[in-house]
Parts: sequence; C-alpha cells; structure tokens
Amino acid sequence: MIKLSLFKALNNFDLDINLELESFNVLGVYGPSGSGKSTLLRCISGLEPAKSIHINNQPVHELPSDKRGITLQLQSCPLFPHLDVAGNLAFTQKHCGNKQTSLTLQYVVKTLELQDLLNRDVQSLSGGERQRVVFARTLLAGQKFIMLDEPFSALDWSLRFKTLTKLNELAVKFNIKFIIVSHSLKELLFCCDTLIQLDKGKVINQGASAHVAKAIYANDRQTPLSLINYDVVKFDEDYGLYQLQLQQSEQPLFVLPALVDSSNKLIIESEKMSLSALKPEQTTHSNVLRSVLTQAELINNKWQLTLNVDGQTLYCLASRRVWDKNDFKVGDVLYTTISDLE
Amino acid sequence: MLQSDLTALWLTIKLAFITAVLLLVFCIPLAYKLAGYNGKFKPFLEALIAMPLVLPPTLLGFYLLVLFSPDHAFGQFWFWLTGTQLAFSFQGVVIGSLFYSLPFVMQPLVAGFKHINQTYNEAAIALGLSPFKRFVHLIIPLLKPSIGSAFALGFAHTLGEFGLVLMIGGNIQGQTQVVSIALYDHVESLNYTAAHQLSLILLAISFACLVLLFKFNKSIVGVKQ
Amino acid sequence: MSKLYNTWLGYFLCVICMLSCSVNAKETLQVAVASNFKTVLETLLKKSPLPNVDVKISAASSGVLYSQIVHGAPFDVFLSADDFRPQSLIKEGYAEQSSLITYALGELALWQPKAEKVNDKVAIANPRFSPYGRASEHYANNHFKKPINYVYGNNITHAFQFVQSGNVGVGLVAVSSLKAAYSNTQDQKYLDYTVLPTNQYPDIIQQGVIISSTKKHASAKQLMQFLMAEATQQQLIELGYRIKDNNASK
Repeated sequence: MIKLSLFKALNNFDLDINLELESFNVLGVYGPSGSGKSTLLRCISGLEPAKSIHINNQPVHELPSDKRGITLQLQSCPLFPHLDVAGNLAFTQKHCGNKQTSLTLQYVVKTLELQDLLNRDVQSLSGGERQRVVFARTLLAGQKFIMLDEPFSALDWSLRFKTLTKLNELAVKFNIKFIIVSHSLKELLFCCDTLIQLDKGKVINQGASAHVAKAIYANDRQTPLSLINYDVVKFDEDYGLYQLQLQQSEQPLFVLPALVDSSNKLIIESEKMSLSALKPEQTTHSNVLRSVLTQAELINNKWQLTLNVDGQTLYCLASRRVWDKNDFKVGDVLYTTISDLE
Repeated sequence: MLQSDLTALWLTIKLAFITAVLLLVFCIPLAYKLAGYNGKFKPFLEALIAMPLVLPPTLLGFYLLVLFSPDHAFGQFWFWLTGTQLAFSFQGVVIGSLFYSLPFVMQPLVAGFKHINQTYNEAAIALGLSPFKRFVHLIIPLLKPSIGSAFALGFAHTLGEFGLVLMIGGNIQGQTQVVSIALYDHVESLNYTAAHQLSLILLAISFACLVLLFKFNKSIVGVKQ
Repeated sequence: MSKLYNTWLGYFLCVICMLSCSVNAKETLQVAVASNFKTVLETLLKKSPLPNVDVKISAASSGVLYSQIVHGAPFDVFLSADDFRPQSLIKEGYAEQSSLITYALGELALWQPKAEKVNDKVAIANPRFSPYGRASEHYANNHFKKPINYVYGNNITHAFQFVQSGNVGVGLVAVSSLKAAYSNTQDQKYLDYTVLPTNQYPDIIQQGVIISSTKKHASAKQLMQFLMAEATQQQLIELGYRIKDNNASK
C-alpha cells in the first residue's frame, strides 16, 4: 500500500529509508527528536524531494504536492491569522480540490466538539484548542491519506485519548489512512495498529504496534506500557466511577470517568503496578487483577515481567533486589495491583 | 498661499501616488520571487535594491540625467517610443522616483513574503493547496498589511524627494516643480513666510502618511506559537 | 569609563586629538564660498598660497550660506555669487561695510554644442535666486523668439550640466564653466560658444565681505587683498570672469 525509498543527507546523519507496508489504518512513526521523522513526512508530501514514493501502487514522487492526494499537517501547524476558526475550517474545504471523502464541516465540528470555538479569533485559542482546530482543518482537505506531525502534543492526556479515539473512528468510517509522528510511545500505542521506529534516519523496527513496542521497551530504556481492552459494565453514580470488565474476562476494574472513552482502551504505565504472590486481603486498592507470569527478562538492570491477564498482556518492572527476595517463577499466579485508576 | 505652491502640492501628491502604485505593481511579483530565492546571488540582488538608500539622491539624479539624454541609447529609445523627452518632464520625475523609492516599497514586501513563506505558505502546500489558490486566497490576503506599509512608505518617501528632482526636473511649474523644490526656491530667494507655510503643509501630509503606516504595521498579524 | 583607552570612544578621542594637535603655525580662515566660485578659489590659492593663512572652504549656494551666517555659522569671510546677499548682511550688521569687495563679474555665453537643436528648450539658472539666472532671463527675453521654453538649473553650473549632458540643446551658461570644462577635458565642444555682449544683460556682480564676528581680521583682510590684487584679477579674466572697472574682458 505504501512503498517508499528515499535518501537525503541531513546535518548529522543521512535519512535513508526503504519501506514497504502492506496495509495499515493508523501508522505510527516513533523516534527521538531529530531522528528524521518530520523530514520523512515532508518527503512523502512533496515539500522535499524523494527518490521514489508509491502509494496504492501509484508513483507519486514526481507529482506536485497538491496532486498527490496526501495531506500533511506540519508540526505546530499555524492557523491562518486573517480568518477566524470557522474561516480556517471552510478554507481547506473550499479551496482544496479533488476531495476523496464525504466529510462535511458540520460533521467534523460535531465529532471534534468544536462548536464553541467557531467564532473565535485564532489568536485567542489555547495551544490545545488550536491543535484540535488544525486537525479539523486537515480532515476537511478531504484526502484519504493524512499525515500528522506531533498533532496533539498540547492536549492533556484525557483529551488526547479522546481525540485519538475519534481519529480511529474516522479512519474506519471514512477509510482514511493516517500516519502519525510522535515521540510519545503512549500516544502511538493507543491509536496505531502499525508502528515504525526511526533512529538516526533509519528504520530500525517495523510491524504490528505491540510487537514494535516490545522491541522498543527492550532496547530503548523506555518504561513499558500496557494496553488493556475492556467493556463498560456500568456507571456507579454514588462513587462517580465506571465499573469495567476486561475483555474475555470476568475480572473488573473501577476507574474514573476521565480515563474512559469510546475506544475501550486503557494504557497503564508499569510504575503503577505492584505484584504479590498472595491475593492481598487488606489493601486500599480495589483494582487487583489475577495474572500469570509468562516471561521475565533482565533489561537495563531491571527485571521486565510479562503477565497474562485472561489473554491480555501487562508489563511490570521489578528491581533485582525485589526479584531475588520474592522468588517468582514463570508460570506462577501473581496478583497485580494497579494504582491511580480511581 | 501662492497659486504656484498649490500646483506644486498637487503635483507632489500626484507624483507620490503614481510612484507608489507603479512600484507596488512591479515590486509585488519581484518581491515574491526574491523572498523565495536563496541562490548565491541573493546578497547581490538585495544590495542592488538597497542601493538607492545609500546613494546620494543628487548622484542618482545626475546619472539619470545622463541616461535620459538624447545622446544616450535609453533617451533615444524613449524618444522613439513616445516622441517626448524624459528630462524636465513629469514622466522623467516619475522614473526617477521609482528608483529613489524602490527600497522603501520593496523591503516591507520582501519581509512580508518571507514571513508568509516561512509560516503559512508551507503549511498550505502541505495541506495540498494549488499554487494559484495559495497565492490568491492566502498570500495576497496575508500580505495586505505589508502592501499597506509598502504603499505608505513609498508615498511618504516620494513626498520628501528633493535632490533627484532638483537634478532632472529643471524646476518647471506643473511638470517638475514639486513641493520640496518650491520650498527650496522660497528659501533661496529669502521668502521665508511662503517657505514656512509650505513646510507646514508638507509636514502635515507626511505625518498623516506615517500615522497610517504605523496603523498598518500594528495590524500585521502573526500566530503566537 | 575607567578604561576609556580601550573603548571606541577612546580611539575616537585619540584620533581627534592627533588631528587637532598637528602642529600648525598658520591661522585657519573659514571661508564661505558660493559653489560656482569654489574651484576657482582653490585654483587661485593653489597657484599662490597665502603666507601664514590656511584657507578652509565651505561651499554651498549663496542663499544657504547667507542663512547660515545669519544663524551664527563661524565663517570669517563670505564670497557670494551676487551683490544682494553681502549687502543685506552689512545692512543687518552681520558683515563689515568697509570690507565689501566686488571680486569678479560673471560672464555669460550662449552655448549650443550641436549644430541641430535637440529641442526648443533653453537652460538657464533659476532667475528667482541666481544673479546669473536673472541676467540670462533678461538677455533671453530680449533676444529669443517667444514663447521661451525655459529649463531652470538650480545654479549656473547646473544649467551648464543640462546642456553638457545633451538634455537641452541651448543654454545660457557661465564662461567660467566652459573654460574649466575645457581645461579638464580638452574637448572641442567646450570652445564652441558665443560670449554675450556685456551691455545686453545686467552685471552679475559677485561680492565678498568679512563677517563681523571674526576674530581673524588680519587674515581675512589678507584674503580680500589677495583677491583684489592685480595678478589675481588678471587670472580671473583667464578663468572666464570679468573684473570691475575693466569691462573689456577680452
């Protein structure tokens, strides 16, 4: 579906990428700052030349930017200051030709909840508001291939997950392919089905998100993140909490409304987990999951433990001292306590 | 106020207006090219455009006088084209003013284009807008404040033009006797009362121009990043 | 400021000191000269420098110099291109009556360097403030076919440049300009002129005065005497001027 080959000498290294990806809905490009992520997107969009780029088997590298059927939202992309928010949204809808999607302004405004911003002056927007408007404007360019460079960096996590969920829905509903560049693995893991990892201008990992993420935890001194899929059981009005149930499992979790969105996904940092061999009877935490230790690896002087919770994977870290003291073994049943959810 | 002074005033305003408008017409496409050009000749081009800033106007005027002469190919060409002579004519003074005020019109435009290119134009390319739509719907509307500044600066600067017109004008009423020349005449012939009156009017007009200029400048907008 | 010697200001002051301390026994005389007489005065002084006097020349139009003197410019001598301004200065008390000299009379020529006229324009100096211009206008009004299409030069040199550059076919110019141009370039076109009969235009009287506020009276007087000396006056005739009491310049 996307096949590209490009070489470009940059200041400190060469951007040298040969990539072929068969299918994806949302592709994440992960890498540290200055690894060539933005340049990669600029080459695909045509802002900078590239040797060869094929999208859906069509060579696009010789076409000008406006004929490629690609929309790129630059990093910290500005709104046009001579127009208000509504004017900016109408701008791409009106002036970008060759529409591929049936997205309307009303629909995008409703989906991204921008009604209250429409008549605002663009200078008066906060960073987060601006990024949401910019994203809406990008969508309204009407292309089915959209690249976003650090699109939601100014949004807090709750709103970011919410927006990313909308993005996933749009991808499915309108058959839009997204490429998202970010240096936050949490963000990418949440919304991407496919990931590539860039380092000093080269692709060092590519494939399914979970697979690439695992490689990143192993090599990159990154604290592992766990992705939990759930179904909503009910909202407990007395406590203001949602009761969730892990998919294909009977085990419940109680979480704050801010953490729940229509994606039915939850990202949990490894620091928020603790393990014990016995089920804790007396604890202030209600969120204790029964899990099975499936793997233990010593990475960067810490034990990274992979746990299976009724088919889903949790990653947890343990220091060497704690590991030696507790004598856990692969196959043991361990109780995982998750804090900070309620 | 003297009738001749009124004529000079009207002539000056006409000259400044025509000069500023013509310069805008030439400079907008030129500035667009220059702002996007990053080749090795860029500093030379920029220096060339800034030359009238540092050249004494009388020097510029002297060489224009030589250029306009029927002995010179340019003067001959103009005569062949129009049947008139450039020196001592309103057209000649307009051409002189075009040189004289060029940097004042060019520089706000180049700065404006550069600002737009760096921030907005690239974003619009990335969004997939065609070059034509970008120019018409984005660049020109965003350039409006710069066009305003360029016009006001070109106009105001031409109002005060002296040395150049002195050299190529020949002090002809209704043709080349602009306010600054009329003022000089008054001072030279010790007619200070008329000089004061005329200066006051010139000052008032120039001041109004500059007020407008700074109003335009204030309205230049940019997105806070 | 403790390290004055190491600042730009320090260097600047240093240079100023060196410039002003240069040992010079001569007295410096500040002379305000009408632009068209500047090079002439330089030529004269180069040939026979004044002993003990160092002449510093400030050139501008007579009108500008006049208003500078009225507003206190530190000049010692004023050599005007006319007679009106020196006499005004005397009347207003800025210059000494006794010092008034007529150091030269301007001489006009009709100059048409090309056989066929490029246009019907006539270049003259601006009659509103130039004595050459007034004389030129007087002559032209009496002798040229009307209406006359004047082009006004800012001064007599400027009128000369209009013709020299080829923009105007005919001009009434100073003989001194033509002679200076010929001696610089040896171009034959500067010889092809007609001197106007002196009785057909009013005298162009160039006068000089000593400024009242001068503290260098002796030196100023020396310059005036030098200008009026027989040798100098003869030289002025060679340079294209007439002199008083000797109307037969040729």
